[in-house]
Amino acid sequence: MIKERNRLNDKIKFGMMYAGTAGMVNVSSLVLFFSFTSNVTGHYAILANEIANGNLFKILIAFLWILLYFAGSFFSHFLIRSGASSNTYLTHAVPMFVEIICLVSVGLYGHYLYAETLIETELLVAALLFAMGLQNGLTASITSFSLKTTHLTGLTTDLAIHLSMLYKKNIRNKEAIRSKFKLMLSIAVGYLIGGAIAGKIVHYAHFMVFIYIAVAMVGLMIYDWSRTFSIKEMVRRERAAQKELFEKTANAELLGKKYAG
Amino acid sequence: MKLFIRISIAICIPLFLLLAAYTLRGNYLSPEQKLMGEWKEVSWTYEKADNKGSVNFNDEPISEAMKHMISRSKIIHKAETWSFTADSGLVLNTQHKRLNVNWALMGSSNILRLKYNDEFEEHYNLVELNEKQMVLHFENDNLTRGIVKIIFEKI
Repeated sequence: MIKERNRLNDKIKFGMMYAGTAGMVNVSSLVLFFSFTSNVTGHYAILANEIANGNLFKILIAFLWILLYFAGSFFSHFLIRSGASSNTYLTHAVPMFVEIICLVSVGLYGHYLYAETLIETELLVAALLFAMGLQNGLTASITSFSLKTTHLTGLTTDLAIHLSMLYKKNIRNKEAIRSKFKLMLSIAVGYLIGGAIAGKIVHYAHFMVFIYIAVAMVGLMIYDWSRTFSIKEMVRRERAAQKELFEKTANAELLGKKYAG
Repeated sequence: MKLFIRISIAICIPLFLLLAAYTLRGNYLSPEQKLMGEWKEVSWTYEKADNKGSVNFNDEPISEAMKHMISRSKIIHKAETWSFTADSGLVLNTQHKRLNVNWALMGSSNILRLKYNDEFEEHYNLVELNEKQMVLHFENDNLTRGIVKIIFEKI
Protein backbone atom coordinates (compact mmCIF):
# COMPACT_ATOMS: atom_id res chain seq x y z
CA MET A 1 0.00 0.00 0.00
CA ILE A 2 2.80 2.41 0.95
CA LYS A 3 4.66 1.35 -2.18
CA GLU A 4 1.57 2.07 -4.27
CA ARG A 5 1.18 5.46 -2.64
CA ASN A 6 4.87 6.26 -3.27
CA ARG A 7 4.46 5.22 -6.88
CA LEU A 8 1.41 7.48 -7.23
CA ASN A 9 3.25 10.37 -5.57
CA ASP A 10 6.14 9.86 -7.96
CA LYS A 11 3.79 9.82 -10.94
CA ILE A 12 2.07 12.99 -9.71
CA LYS A 13 5.40 14.78 -9.24
CA PHE A 14 6.74 13.72 -12.65
CA GLY A 15 3.40 14.37 -14.36
CA MET A 16 3.17 17.87 -12.90
CA MET A 17 6.74 18.73 -13.81
CA TYR A 18 6.51 17.39 -17.35
CA ALA A 19 3.15 19.09 -17.89
CA GLY A 20 4.53 22.31 -16.38
CA THR A 21 7.37 22.44 -18.90
CA ALA A 22 4.96 21.65 -21.76
CA GLY A 23 2.67 24.47 -20.60
CA MET A 24 5.65 26.82 -20.48
CA VAL A 25 6.72 25.90 -24.01
CA ASN A 26 3.20 26.27 -25.36
CA VAL A 27 2.50 29.67 -23.83
CA SER A 28 5.96 30.99 -24.77
CA SER A 29 5.57 29.90 -28.38
CA LEU A 30 2.08 31.40 -28.48
CA VAL A 31 3.41 34.76 -27.30
CA LEU A 32 6.57 34.73 -29.44
CA PHE A 33 5.43 32.90 -32.59
CA PHE A 34 1.63 33.10 -32.40
CA SER A 35 1.49 29.36 -32.75
CA PHE A 36 0.75 26.44 -30.44
CA THR A 37 3.58 23.93 -30.14
CA SER A 38 2.52 21.40 -27.54
CA ASN A 39 -0.36 19.92 -29.52
CA VAL A 40 -1.19 19.34 -33.17
CA THR A 41 -5.00 19.34 -33.18
CA GLY A 42 -5.07 22.92 -34.43
CA HIS A 43 -2.44 22.16 -37.05
CA TYR A 44 -4.56 19.26 -38.35
CA ALA A 45 -7.45 21.70 -38.64
CA ILE A 46 -5.22 24.19 -40.50
CA LEU A 47 -3.98 21.40 -42.79
CA ALA A 48 -7.53 20.31 -43.59
CA ASN A 49 -8.64 23.87 -44.23
CA GLU A 50 -5.65 24.62 -46.46
CA ILE A 51 -6.20 21.39 -48.40
CA ALA A 52 -9.77 22.57 -48.99
CA ASN A 53 -8.47 26.00 -50.09
CA GLY A 54 -5.73 24.46 -52.24
CA ASN A 55 -3.03 26.62 -50.65
CA LEU A 56 0.04 24.46 -51.24
CA PHE A 57 2.45 26.60 -49.26
CA LYS A 58 0.41 26.44 -46.08
CA ILE A 59 -0.34 22.74 -46.66
CA LEU A 60 3.39 22.03 -46.68
CA ILE A 61 4.01 24.00 -43.51
CA ALA A 62 1.14 22.40 -41.60
CA PHE A 63 2.28 18.99 -42.84
CA LEU A 64 5.88 19.69 -41.82
CA TRP A 65 4.79 20.68 -38.32
CA ILE A 66 2.65 17.59 -37.85
CA LEU A 67 5.45 15.43 -39.28
CA LEU A 68 7.99 16.89 -36.85
CA TYR A 69 5.71 16.22 -33.86
CA PHE A 70 5.17 12.70 -35.19
CA ALA A 71 8.93 12.22 -35.65
CA GLY A 72 9.56 13.36 -32.06
CA SER A 73 7.11 10.84 -30.62
CA PHE A 74 8.42 8.11 -32.94
CA PHE A 75 12.05 8.78 -31.99
CA SER A 76 11.22 8.84 -28.29
CA HIS A 77 9.33 5.55 -28.27
CA PHE A 78 11.85 3.92 -30.60
CA LEU A 79 14.68 4.78 -28.20
CA ILE A 80 12.78 3.60 -25.15
CA ARG A 81 11.82 0.27 -26.76
CA SER A 82 15.34 -0.24 -28.15
CA GLY A 83 16.96 0.26 -24.78
CA ALA A 84 14.19 -1.07 -22.54
CA SER A 85 16.18 -4.09 -21.45
CA SER A 86 19.40 -2.20 -20.72
CA ASN A 87 19.58 1.03 -18.72
CA THR A 88 16.16 2.46 -17.78
CA TYR A 89 17.51 5.86 -16.82
CA LEU A 90 19.51 6.23 -20.03
CA THR A 91 16.51 5.40 -22.23
CA HIS A 92 14.54 8.16 -20.46
CA ALA A 93 17.44 10.56 -20.49
CA VAL A 94 18.22 10.47 -24.22
CA PRO A 95 14.84 11.87 -25.44
CA MET A 96 14.97 14.44 -22.62
CA PHE A 97 18.49 15.40 -23.62
CA VAL A 98 17.46 15.85 -27.28
CA GLU A 99 14.49 17.93 -26.08
CA ILE A 100 16.84 20.13 -24.04
CA ILE A 101 19.06 20.60 -27.12
CA CYS A 102 15.99 21.72 -29.14
CA LEU A 103 14.90 24.18 -26.45
CA VAL A 104 18.39 25.63 -26.02
CA SER A 105 18.82 25.94 -29.81
CA VAL A 106 15.49 27.78 -30.16
CA GLY A 107 16.35 30.03 -27.21
CA LEU A 108 19.82 30.94 -28.44
CA TYR A 109 18.78 31.36 -32.08
CA GLY A 110 15.80 33.46 -31.07
CA HIS A 111 17.87 35.65 -28.77
CA TYR A 112 20.88 36.24 -31.01
CA LEU A 113 19.93 35.57 -34.64
CA TYR A 114 16.16 35.70 -35.17
CA ALA A 115 15.28 38.27 -37.85
CA GLU A 116 11.53 37.55 -37.62
CA THR A 117 11.24 36.14 -41.12
CA LEU A 118 8.46 33.67 -41.78
CA ILE A 119 10.79 30.79 -42.63
CA GLU A 120 12.65 31.25 -39.33
CA THR A 121 9.36 31.32 -37.43
CA GLU A 122 8.19 28.15 -39.18
CA LEU A 123 11.45 26.30 -38.49
CA LEU A 124 11.62 27.36 -34.85
CA VAL A 125 8.00 26.28 -34.34
CA ALA A 126 8.92 22.98 -36.06
CA ALA A 127 11.84 22.48 -33.63
CA LEU A 128 9.54 23.10 -30.65
CA LEU A 129 6.93 20.72 -32.03
CA PHE A 130 9.64 18.07 -32.39
CA ALA A 131 10.68 18.69 -28.77
CA MET A 132 7.09 18.38 -27.55
CA GLY A 133 6.60 15.24 -29.65
CA LEU A 134 9.66 13.80 -27.90
CA GLN A 135 8.27 14.64 -24.48
CA ASN A 136 4.82 13.31 -25.21
CA GLY A 137 6.27 10.11 -26.69
CA LEU A 138 8.41 9.70 -23.59
CA THR A 139 5.64 10.16 -21.03
CA ALA A 140 3.20 8.04 -23.04
CA SER A 141 5.74 5.23 -23.51
CA ILE A 142 6.85 5.00 -19.87
CA THR A 143 3.26 5.04 -18.59
CA SER A 144 2.00 2.39 -21.04
CA PHE A 145 0.15 5.06 -23.07
CA SER A 146 -1.97 6.08 -20.09
CA LEU A 147 -0.57 9.59 -19.74
CA LYS A 148 0.15 12.46 -22.08
CA THR A 149 1.49 15.66 -20.66
CA THR A 150 1.72 18.08 -23.56
CA HIS A 151 -1.94 18.49 -24.45
CA LEU A 152 -5.05 18.50 -22.37
CA THR A 153 -7.97 17.66 -24.67
CA GLY A 154 -7.97 13.93 -23.98
CA LEU A 155 -6.99 14.52 -20.39
CA THR A 156 -9.89 16.95 -19.80
CA THR A 157 -12.28 14.38 -21.29
CA ASP A 158 -10.87 11.62 -19.05
CA LEU A 159 -10.95 13.94 -16.06
CA ALA A 160 -14.62 14.68 -16.65
CA ILE A 161 -15.40 10.98 -17.09
CA HIS A 162 -13.54 10.09 -13.89
CA LEU A 163 -15.31 12.87 -12.00
CA SER A 164 -18.66 11.56 -13.16
CA MET A 165 -17.56 8.06 -12.07
CA LEU A 166 -16.72 9.40 -8.62
CA TYR A 167 -20.34 10.45 -8.20
CA LYS A 168 -21.28 6.76 -8.10
CA LYS A 169 -21.00 5.45 -4.58
CA ASN A 170 -19.79 1.97 -5.54
CA ILE A 171 -17.02 3.37 -7.77
CA ARG A 172 -16.00 6.21 -5.45
CA ASN A 173 -14.13 3.89 -3.10
CA LYS A 174 -12.05 2.29 -5.82
CA GLU A 175 -8.47 3.39 -5.26
CA ALA A 176 -7.48 3.05 -8.94
CA ILE A 177 -10.13 5.53 -10.08
CA ARG A 178 -9.30 8.02 -7.33
CA SER A 179 -5.58 7.75 -8.05
CA LYS A 180 -6.07 8.28 -11.79
CA PHE A 181 -8.28 11.29 -11.08
CA LYS A 182 -5.67 12.81 -8.76
CA LEU A 183 -2.94 12.20 -11.31
CA MET A 184 -4.86 13.76 -14.19
CA LEU A 185 -5.90 16.73 -12.10
CA SER A 186 -2.30 17.32 -11.06
CA ILE A 187 -1.19 17.22 -14.69
CA ALA A 188 -3.81 19.81 -15.67
CA VAL A 189 -2.80 22.01 -12.72
CA GLY A 190 0.90 21.57 -13.55
CA TYR A 191 0.30 22.59 -17.16
CA LEU A 192 -1.67 25.64 -16.07
CA ILE A 193 0.93 26.74 -13.52
CA GLY A 194 3.77 26.26 -16.02
CA GLY A 195 1.87 28.22 -18.64
CA ALA A 196 1.09 31.06 -16.25
CA ILE A 197 4.72 31.29 -15.12
CA ALA A 198 5.95 31.35 -18.71
CA GLY A 199 3.31 33.92 -19.65
CA LYS A 200 4.76 36.21 -17.00
CA ILE A 201 8.45 35.51 -17.71
CA VAL A 202 8.30 35.64 -21.51
CA HIS A 203 7.54 39.37 -21.56
CA TYR A 204 10.82 40.06 -19.77
CA ALA A 205 13.05 37.21 -20.92
CA HIS A 206 11.69 36.84 -24.49
CA PHE A 207 13.50 33.93 -26.17
CA MET A 208 15.66 33.23 -23.12
CA VAL A 209 12.55 31.70 -21.57
CA PHE A 210 13.40 28.54 -23.54
CA ILE A 211 16.78 28.41 -21.77
CA TYR A 212 14.97 28.58 -18.42
CA ILE A 213 12.69 25.75 -19.51
CA ALA A 214 15.77 23.75 -20.58
CA VAL A 215 17.29 24.33 -17.13
CA ALA A 216 14.05 23.07 -15.56
CA MET A 217 14.31 19.99 -17.81
CA VAL A 218 17.88 19.38 -16.58
CA GLY A 219 16.51 19.52 -13.04
CA LEU A 220 13.87 17.00 -14.03
CA MET A 221 16.57 14.73 -15.50
CA ILE A 222 18.54 14.90 -12.25
CA TYR A 223 15.42 14.15 -10.23
CA ASP A 224 14.62 11.22 -12.53
CA TRP A 225 18.17 9.95 -12.07
CA SER A 226 18.00 10.30 -8.28
CA ARG A 227 14.66 8.44 -8.18
CA THR A 228 15.96 5.66 -10.44
CA PHE A 229 19.08 5.44 -8.29
CA SER A 230 17.12 5.37 -5.01
CA ILE A 231 14.73 2.73 -6.37
CA LYS A 232 17.70 0.62 -7.51
CA GLU A 233 19.32 1.11 -4.11
CA MET A 234 16.05 0.11 -2.39
CA VAL A 235 15.77 -3.04 -4.53
CA ARG A 236 19.43 -3.88 -3.86
CA ARG A 237 18.96 -3.49 -0.09
CA GLU A 238 15.78 -5.53 -0.15
CA ARG A 239 17.52 -8.32 -2.07
CA ALA A 240 20.50 -8.22 0.33
CA ALA A 241 18.15 -8.42 3.32
CA GLN A 242 16.29 -11.35 1.73
CA LYS A 243 19.58 -13.10 1.01
CA GLU A 244 20.73 -12.56 4.61
CA LEU A 245 17.45 -13.92 5.95
CA PHE A 246 17.68 -16.91 3.63
CA GLU A 247 21.22 -17.66 4.75
CA LYS A 248 20.28 -17.33 8.43
CA THR A 249 17.32 -19.69 7.96
CA ALA A 250 19.48 -22.17 6.08
CA ASN A 251 22.14 -22.02 8.80
CA ALA A 252 19.52 -22.52 11.50
CA GLU A 253 18.12 -25.52 9.65
CA LEU A 254 21.61 -26.93 9.24
CA LEU A 255 22.35 -26.46 12.94
CA GLY A 256 19.01 -28.06 13.85
CA LYS A 257 19.81 -31.10 11.71
CA LYS A 258 23.30 -31.30 13.22
CA TYR A 259 21.95 -31.33 16.79
CA ALA A 260 19.19 -33.74 15.85
CA GLY A 261 21.82 -36.03 14.30
CA MET B 1 21.52 -5.19 -39.22
CA LYS B 2 17.73 -5.06 -38.83
CA LEU B 3 18.06 -2.16 -36.40
CA PHE B 4 20.30 -0.34 -38.88
CA ILE B 5 17.72 -0.78 -41.66
CA ARG B 6 14.92 0.44 -39.37
CA ILE B 7 16.88 3.51 -38.30
CA SER B 8 17.78 4.27 -41.95
CA ILE B 9 14.10 4.07 -42.96
CA ALA B 10 13.07 6.21 -39.99
CA ILE B 11 15.55 8.90 -41.01
CA CYS B 12 15.17 8.64 -44.81
CA ILE B 13 11.36 8.95 -45.05
CA PRO B 14 11.04 12.26 -43.17
CA LEU B 15 14.17 13.54 -44.94
CA PHE B 16 12.66 12.68 -48.32
CA LEU B 17 9.39 14.38 -47.40
CA LEU B 18 11.23 17.46 -46.19
CA LEU B 19 13.31 17.67 -49.37
CA ALA B 20 10.21 17.20 -51.53
CA ALA B 21 8.45 19.93 -49.58
CA TYR B 22 11.41 22.26 -49.92
CA THR B 23 11.64 21.63 -53.68
CA LEU B 24 7.93 22.18 -54.23
CA ARG B 25 8.07 25.31 -52.14
CA GLY B 26 10.40 26.96 -54.65
CA ASN B 27 7.69 26.90 -57.33
CA TYR B 28 5.18 28.87 -55.30
CA LEU B 29 5.15 32.37 -53.92
CA SER B 30 5.50 32.49 -50.15
CA PRO B 31 2.99 34.59 -48.17
CA GLU B 32 5.78 37.13 -47.56
CA GLN B 33 6.38 37.44 -51.32
CA LYS B 34 2.66 37.78 -51.96
CA LEU B 35 2.42 40.51 -49.34
CA MET B 36 5.15 42.70 -50.81
CA GLY B 37 3.98 45.67 -52.86
CA GLU B 38 1.41 48.39 -52.48
CA TRP B 39 -2.10 47.75 -51.15
CA LYS B 40 -5.07 50.11 -51.11
CA GLU B 41 -7.78 49.98 -48.45
CA VAL B 42 -11.06 49.24 -50.21
CA SER B 43 -13.51 48.73 -47.38
CA TRP B 44 -14.00 48.49 -43.64
CA THR B 45 -16.88 46.33 -42.40
CA TYR B 46 -17.85 44.41 -39.28
CA GLU B 47 -17.30 40.70 -39.77
CA LYS B 48 -19.08 40.05 -36.49
CA ALA B 49 -20.40 42.52 -33.98
CA ASP B 50 -22.59 42.91 -30.94
CA ASN B 51 -25.75 44.18 -32.53
CA LYS B 52 -27.55 46.93 -30.66
CA GLY B 53 -31.32 46.61 -30.65
CA SER B 54 -32.57 46.56 -34.20
CA VAL B 55 -29.22 47.78 -35.59
CA ASN B 56 -27.36 44.98 -37.32
CA PHE B 57 -23.71 45.88 -37.83
CA ASN B 58 -22.69 42.60 -39.48
CA ASP B 59 -21.28 43.10 -42.99
CA GLU B 60 -22.37 46.74 -42.89
CA PRO B 61 -19.79 49.24 -44.20
CA ILE B 62 -18.20 51.25 -41.41
CA SER B 63 -18.61 54.98 -41.86
CA GLU B 64 -15.56 57.28 -42.08
CA ALA B 65 -16.37 58.84 -38.70
CA MET B 66 -16.67 55.44 -37.03
CA LYS B 67 -13.51 54.20 -38.77
CA HIS B 68 -11.70 57.24 -37.39
CA MET B 69 -12.91 56.43 -33.86
CA ILE B 70 -12.04 52.74 -34.11
CA SER B 71 -8.52 53.28 -35.46
CA ARG B 72 -7.75 56.34 -33.33
CA SER B 73 -5.36 54.48 -31.02
CA LYS B 74 -3.93 52.27 -33.73
CA ILE B 75 -0.76 52.43 -35.80
CA ILE B 76 -2.82 52.12 -38.98
CA HIS B 77 -4.84 55.25 -38.11
CA LYS B 78 -5.97 57.09 -41.25
CA ALA B 79 -3.75 54.95 -43.52
CA GLU B 80 -5.02 54.72 -47.08
CA THR B 81 -2.29 52.73 -48.78
CA TRP B 82 0.03 50.18 -47.26
CA SER B 83 3.41 49.55 -48.97
CA PHE B 84 5.18 46.39 -47.83
CA THR B 85 8.91 46.26 -48.62
CA ALA B 86 11.34 43.34 -48.56
CA ASP B 87 13.34 44.69 -45.62
CA SER B 88 10.37 44.17 -43.25
CA GLY B 89 9.38 47.79 -43.71
CA LEU B 90 5.84 49.02 -44.14
CA VAL B 91 5.05 52.56 -45.28
CA LEU B 92 1.58 53.69 -44.25
CA ASN B 93 0.54 56.53 -46.52
CA THR B 94 -2.12 59.02 -45.60
CA GLN B 95 -3.01 62.28 -47.34
CA HIS B 96 -0.80 64.22 -44.97
CA LYS B 97 2.00 61.97 -43.76
CA ARG B 98 3.96 58.73 -44.14
CA LEU B 99 4.61 56.37 -41.25
CA ASN B 100 7.40 53.79 -41.31
CA VAL B 101 6.50 50.59 -39.50
CA ASN B 102 8.09 47.13 -39.20
CA TRP B 103 6.07 44.11 -40.22
CA ALA B 104 6.42 40.35 -39.74
CA LEU B 105 4.27 37.35 -40.50
CA MET B 106 3.90 35.02 -37.54
CA GLY B 107 2.26 31.69 -36.72
CA SER B 108 1.35 29.77 -39.85
CA SER B 109 1.49 33.11 -41.72
CA ASN B 110 -1.95 33.89 -40.33
CA ILE B 111 -0.83 36.78 -38.13
CA LEU B 112 0.47 40.13 -39.38
CA ARG B 113 2.43 41.85 -36.65
CA LEU B 114 3.16 45.57 -36.92
CA LYS B 115 5.72 47.33 -34.75
CA TYR B 116 6.24 51.05 -34.53
CA ASN B 117 9.34 52.55 -32.85
CA ASP B 118 9.80 49.30 -30.90
CA GLU B 119 7.10 50.64 -28.59
CA PHE B 120 3.74 49.95 -30.18
CA GLU B 121 2.86 46.49 -31.35
CA GLU B 122 -0.33 45.42 -33.08
CA HIS B 123 -1.54 42.10 -34.49
CA TYR B 124 -3.96 41.49 -37.31
CA ASN B 125 -5.38 38.19 -38.49
CA LEU B 126 -4.38 37.67 -42.10
CA VAL B 127 -7.51 35.90 -43.26
CA GLU B 128 -6.97 35.98 -47.01
CA LEU B 129 -3.96 36.74 -49.15
CA ASN B 130 -3.64 36.30 -52.87
CA GLU B 131 -2.09 38.22 -55.77
CA LYS B 132 -5.07 40.62 -55.93
CA GLN B 133 -6.71 40.82 -52.54
CA MET B 134 -5.81 40.85 -48.88
CA VAL B 135 -8.25 40.64 -45.96
CA LEU B 136 -7.31 41.54 -42.40
CA HIS B 137 -9.35 41.05 -39.26
CA PHE B 138 -8.85 42.66 -35.89
CA GLU B 139 -10.82 42.71 -32.68
CA ASN B 140 -12.35 45.98 -31.62
CA ASP B 141 -14.01 47.00 -28.37
CA ASN B 142 -14.19 50.68 -29.15
CA LEU B 143 -17.80 51.89 -29.71
CA THR B 144 -19.10 48.48 -30.82
CA ARG B 145 -17.47 45.22 -29.76
CA GLY B 146 -16.74 42.98 -32.70
CA ILE B 147 -14.34 41.86 -35.40
CA VAL B 148 -13.45 44.49 -37.97
CA LYS B 149 -12.67 43.34 -41.49
CA ILE B 150 -10.44 45.43 -43.78
CA ILE B 151 -10.28 44.53 -47.46
CA PHE B 152 -7.32 45.62 -49.59
CA GLU B 153 -6.64 45.52 -53.29
CA LYS B 154 -3.18 45.36 -54.78
CA ILE B 155 -2.25 48.46 -56.75
